[in-house]
Amino acid sequence: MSGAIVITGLGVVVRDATGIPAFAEWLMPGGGLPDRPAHFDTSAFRACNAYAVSPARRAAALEACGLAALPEADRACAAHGLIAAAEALAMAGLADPVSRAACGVALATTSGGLLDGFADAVAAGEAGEVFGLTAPPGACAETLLRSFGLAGPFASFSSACASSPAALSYALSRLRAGDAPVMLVGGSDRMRAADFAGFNALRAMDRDSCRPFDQSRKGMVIADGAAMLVIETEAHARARGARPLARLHAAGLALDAHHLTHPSPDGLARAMRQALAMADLPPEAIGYVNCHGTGTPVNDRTECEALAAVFTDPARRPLISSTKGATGHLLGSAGAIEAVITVLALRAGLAPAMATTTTPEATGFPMPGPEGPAAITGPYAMSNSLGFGGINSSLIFEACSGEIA
Amino acid sequence: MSDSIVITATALALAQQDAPGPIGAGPVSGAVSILRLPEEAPDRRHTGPSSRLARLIGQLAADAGLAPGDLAGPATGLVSGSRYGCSLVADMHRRLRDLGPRGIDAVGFAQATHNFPVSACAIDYGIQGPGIALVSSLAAGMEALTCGRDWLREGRCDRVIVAAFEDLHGPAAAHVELLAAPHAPPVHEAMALVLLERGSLARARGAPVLAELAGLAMVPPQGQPRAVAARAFGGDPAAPRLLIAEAEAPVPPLVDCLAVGGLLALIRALEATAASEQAQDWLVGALDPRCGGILAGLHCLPVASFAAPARQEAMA
Repeated sequence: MSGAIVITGLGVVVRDATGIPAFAEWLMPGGGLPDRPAHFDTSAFRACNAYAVSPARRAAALEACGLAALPEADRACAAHGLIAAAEALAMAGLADPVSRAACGVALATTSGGLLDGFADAVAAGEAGEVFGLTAPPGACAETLLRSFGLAGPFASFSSACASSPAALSYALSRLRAGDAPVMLVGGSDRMRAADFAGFNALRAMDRDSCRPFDQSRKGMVIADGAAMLVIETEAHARARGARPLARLHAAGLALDAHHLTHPSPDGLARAMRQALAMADLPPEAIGYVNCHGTGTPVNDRTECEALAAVFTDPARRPLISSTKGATGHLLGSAGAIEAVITVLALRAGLAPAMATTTTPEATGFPMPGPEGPAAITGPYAMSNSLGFGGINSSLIFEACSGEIA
Repeated sequence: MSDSIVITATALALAQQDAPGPIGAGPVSGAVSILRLPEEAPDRRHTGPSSRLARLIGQLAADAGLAPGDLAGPATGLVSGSRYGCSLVADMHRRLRDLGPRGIDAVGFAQATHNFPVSACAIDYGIQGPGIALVSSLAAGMEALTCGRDWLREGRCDRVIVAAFEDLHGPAAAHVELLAAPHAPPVHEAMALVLLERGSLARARGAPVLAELAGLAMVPPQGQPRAVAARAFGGDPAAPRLLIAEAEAPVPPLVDCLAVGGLLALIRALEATAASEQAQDWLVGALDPRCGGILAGLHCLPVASFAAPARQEAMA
């Protein structure tokens, strides 16, 4: 099936905001700084700070959307997905079970700690039947299917920090293949103590803040939360009176076959070129690139090399930015929240301020400063993600007019 | 007219009831037996699943008439599907709990992703096409097959290695036991691979075409497999034979190998066709009672060299 694929719903929960309006208001000036997470003790680690959704925020958000009684609501990773999905489905006008029955689910998560909780319960002799539904790594996606009565195509992805673009690619293909008219897609993750320890062991975390593309950058700050999108064929959206927020044109995917933790510019450049070819767009059409931009010295340098290889005309280069200095790195959800941010940026015509990038590197590309958002030109934007193991992805979006409810 | 998509090789490692070996068969504990694959030879660059995948990719390429170097570059994609993913991911939690922060080392952590087998093998073989990992429903192997089919149809690459595996150690094994019904049949660790290629390129190379992938169809939760046959074949099939993996009620000759079941059904259909010496239409795949499933319509061709014993690893 050909035809445009449109985004009709968005939802988000992060440490500092629940819901798109609050998130956009918090994000555009540059977000916030990390602090100690509440769900485990980080004092033994070299870097101690993160952006973790608090139990109080999660409980309030679940209560507000009437989902607090679900057994899955006790599992933070699944709860994040439920909160963001409820908002996205409502924004898309898919609030009633009949309208959303044909909707499929494609969800990303690194692991979300779901089996960790089960392992602890087994060790304590407390592994009850509830874990039958909630422990497998794909349980977040199953929770969405079950809780919202969705019966379309299903898949759950775990491809490190490129998990969400993998889910978006799958959902895009399901719509174009005619397997479903509408898909709920995104990422939901929970920061695990084991991942916090691992990134510390890699010396990939900054002790203070994430400073993407800054001369003094020292690393990433990890985070958790969820972001969800409702995407559907434009014909389906128009027929039911839904208002498109943006179009999703392409999802490029490429392995770089280089190194487990050191990315290669070739792989990301191939993913971007693949996305541009699928969207039938020249590089000059792209007005904004939301970069992976983890703030590690290697990642940001590699990304700039890849961007320079694709956007070869120095006079016609897009605005680039990374929003990880505002939100932290949401791991499996990172690509989804950055897809949401890219849509919000296109609709506002503004890329969020980079509040922590006070001494910017000479990237060769225009970037927003710490003082405020920067203007985007043109209707097309790209969002790039890189995952451990050399998984690269690139998404292309186009603005649509219309207000977000 | 778009190019056909064909299957040119498969590979399978399946734990056996009567397998000898260092771990071999036998109940782990509780109500269900978990039959384990033998451990792979240790290699610091690899984990157990990634080592097995690397070895089976070599076998897959050889059977398809490809040299290992032919897989290098952006024309080849690689995708994996699993129910529980890699046990090393969960083991990081155990190590941190038991040993504290010093129990987590950088190399071990870098290998503790569910996409590690895909990534490690991409590095080994120079694979630069699309690559991702699914950790999903009991139909995850078929979800991976769907990704491979998508990438070929969308012109992203020319061939895709589709893998499904289960690595049942630690909490994954305990969870399998939690879900097991009384007197349930054993659950088998397994890894299955299928090589999808563009038909024109495979035929031009003189590769053995085992089947043409007529189509894929999604089955909703509690849906009826026969109801999607027409969609899986792009029209009315001539009474296809049906072989579907259902973890809760495996149908002979299939065994319960969780998300590998769909690809195992596909391989068994190819074997049955080879044995019959006649072209056959098959509807194969996997259903998950909670998440639905995916079925593939296959026009299978009788390739004499495709015989079951040669394609299934010796377990000794």
